[in-house]
Amino acid sequence: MRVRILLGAWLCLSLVLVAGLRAQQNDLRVRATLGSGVVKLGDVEQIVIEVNNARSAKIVEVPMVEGLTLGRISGPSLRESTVFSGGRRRTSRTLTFTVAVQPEREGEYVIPALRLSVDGDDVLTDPMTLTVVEDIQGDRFGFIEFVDLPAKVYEGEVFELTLRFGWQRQLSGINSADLKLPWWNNLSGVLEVDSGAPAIGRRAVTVNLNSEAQIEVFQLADMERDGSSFVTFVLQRRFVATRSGELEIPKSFLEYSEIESRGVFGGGRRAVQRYFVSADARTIEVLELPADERPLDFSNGVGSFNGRAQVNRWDVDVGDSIKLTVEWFGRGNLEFFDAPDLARLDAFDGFKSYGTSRDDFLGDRRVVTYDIAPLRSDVTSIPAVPLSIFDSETGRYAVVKTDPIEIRVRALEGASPLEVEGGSGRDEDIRDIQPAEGEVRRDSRPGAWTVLAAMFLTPLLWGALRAVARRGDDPDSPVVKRARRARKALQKDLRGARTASQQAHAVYDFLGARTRESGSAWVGRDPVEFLARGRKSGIAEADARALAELTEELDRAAYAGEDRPLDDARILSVCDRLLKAGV
Amino acid sequence: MVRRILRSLLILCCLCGVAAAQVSDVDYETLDRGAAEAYRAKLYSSAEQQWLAALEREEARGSSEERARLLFNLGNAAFRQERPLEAVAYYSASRRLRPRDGDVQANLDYAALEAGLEPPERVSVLTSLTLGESEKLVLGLTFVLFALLAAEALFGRTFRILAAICAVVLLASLAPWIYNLSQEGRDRVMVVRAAGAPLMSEPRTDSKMLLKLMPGTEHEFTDSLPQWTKVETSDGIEGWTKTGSVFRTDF
Repeated sequence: MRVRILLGAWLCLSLVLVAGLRAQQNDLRVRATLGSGVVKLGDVEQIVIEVNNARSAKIVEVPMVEGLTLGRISGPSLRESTVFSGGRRRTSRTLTFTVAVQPEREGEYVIPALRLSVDGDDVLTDPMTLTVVEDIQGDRFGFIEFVDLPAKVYEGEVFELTLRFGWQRQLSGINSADLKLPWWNNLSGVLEVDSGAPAIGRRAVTVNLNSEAQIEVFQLADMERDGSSFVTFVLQRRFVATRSGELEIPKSFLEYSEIESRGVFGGGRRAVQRYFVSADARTIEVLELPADERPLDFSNGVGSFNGRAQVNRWDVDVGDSIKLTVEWFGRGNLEFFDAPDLARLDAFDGFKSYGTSRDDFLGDRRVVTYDIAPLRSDVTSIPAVPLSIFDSETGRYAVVKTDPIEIRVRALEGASPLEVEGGSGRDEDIRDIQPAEGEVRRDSRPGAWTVLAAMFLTPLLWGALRAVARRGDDPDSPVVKRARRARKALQKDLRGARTASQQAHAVYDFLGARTRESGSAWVGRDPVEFLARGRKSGIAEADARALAELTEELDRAAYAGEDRPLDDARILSVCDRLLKAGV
Repeated sequence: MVRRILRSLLILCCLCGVAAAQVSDVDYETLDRGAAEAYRAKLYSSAEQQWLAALEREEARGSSEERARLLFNLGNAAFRQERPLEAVAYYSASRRLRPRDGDVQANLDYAALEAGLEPPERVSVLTSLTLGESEKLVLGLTFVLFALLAAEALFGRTFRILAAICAVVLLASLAPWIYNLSQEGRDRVMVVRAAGAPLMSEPRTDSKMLLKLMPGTEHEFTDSLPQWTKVETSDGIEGWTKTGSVFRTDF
């Protein structure tokens, strides 16, 4: 029972894993977003549904929401793009639908999942929240804006999204803020990265996000705007653009309100006053890196970098380890580029490179430590370490380098040059050419078919041979084995025999083994008569007589004489004659 | 004057023709010896040309030992001309035909080091025998097995254990044979451009670059055009690269 449960659980887990893997491999994504999370009564909102990497899709079911009218589906429109990433080319395909939403009254609504059919499979979108307000008047008392948002970035370039917001200091009752950011976790074609060095000295504050989560923002010093003082906060996120095209950031809203708590028995919280302010939608153009001029040693670094190098030792012997630490800093995708491999640089051919012992990204810089050793005493400096990048400011490929570092390398007295790792020693030169060795030997190969035929026939022939061999006696039977070993046994018995009677015993055992009888059957038997009329009719009479004479002599010696043994060689000679004759 | 010039040109053409005919008439041993002499005289380019010509002769085509020796010598000629990557390609091809040759391995290691490549993989159990050697081994073991099985049929159980041991050894010896069979007939090329070679989606310089082929790496040759060679990487990615960037390693 337990085994069945375990097997069932294992099967389910395997199916889940396979489905997950398959989904991951297919990279299918369906995403539904609202144009903005807040709309004024009378305006029309839109739900935008994007289906990535599917051949076909259609909206099957649009839910009914009381207070909202959902309808007028348009699309799909098709967009295809090609991305060059990590040395591989990937093509993505996006189908886009829009669904118009007309609010009928003020309030907060949850739009349930929309059902789509994607490549024959049913897919549900995530639910969405829409706030409908009678009027938006908060832009007098509050603000929300993007700061220093770049108009264009390059593929692979890191950029910052800084959102600054706040309200008038005189609104002292404001105790709640809700950022409605439809683009939060929904930006396509970008990857969010670590936000860099921590903000020291800033006060962190928690605000609501999209009415369902909370995030941390930092409070800045009050700002002066239009003659009024504003409480100011900032939210910063860093992204790296992974796909060329237009990156659209929809309208962002800030809802700031004074919330009154009614106490335990009054129940719940109530907004005394609510204000809304919005930041316009923005677009960032993501440019593709030029492919024509891309150098072969391009490190995938995009941005504006500089580098500096330092070592832990300047005065070393040949072969001594030097730790070369290179820091790359500046603005860009510091954590993503491929650090230079010193073993592949011609400038470092005076050094043996043992790889890197450290490669860390520290928020505002990338630190790589190499282990190198000078190979010769004529090395006087550690060369500059180059990094091939794409400078996003100039829009061209460039090489940034560290400065060379002077060192002193002392020769070891009587020492040989640095040995190759893992070998018994490096040859100073290649070995000489090989002259011709007389006549050319032509290839001779049995051929695959010959080998296969031999392997195929071997068991067949064995089977046939075995069947034939066992038509007679089974060679494994004890009787047949005894007959085969009779000569050896006779020799062994004769060696141990001290008397004629013992010799006679050994001879009778030999004869019995050969004729598949016991040895005692031969005591007193006339060999001539037996061999003449018996089974072994091919035995010559001379051989039979020789045996008869031998047995007579043995019997005489044993019973009528002093039991002196006969010559072993003679006994063996007679027995060998019988064996040859086919006994 | 014009007649004199024309006459000189005619004589020169005849001489060239005779020279070409002479090269083609030269027997294999003389070609090989001439290459060795050129090598000793440090005329490495001439030595390379002659060994390449020798490689095309019937004597070399019919003998993998001979081809291995010529490829080893070609590796030395390429190395002396400061083309370590091509030397690595020649030595790799020679090692494929003569896997246990210590000289080939030593020169391959040295050339790879000079070319800045990772140390080449050592010969393994699977690659230590050529196809012919592994076939002979399998065939020999099959005959031994047959003899033991025949003895078992005639004389019984004693030989059964020996036959079983022989069968196990025979099964193990199948591995290098099957491996060599799978490698037979494959055409390979090695990247010999020090900076690597871009793999393009189509045979033109303005097509999309799929990836960069690293120097010293081997790939399967699939097709060719006058200036382009189509290869397939070990990951199954097919693309085109400039013919001058790659070098045959199957001879």
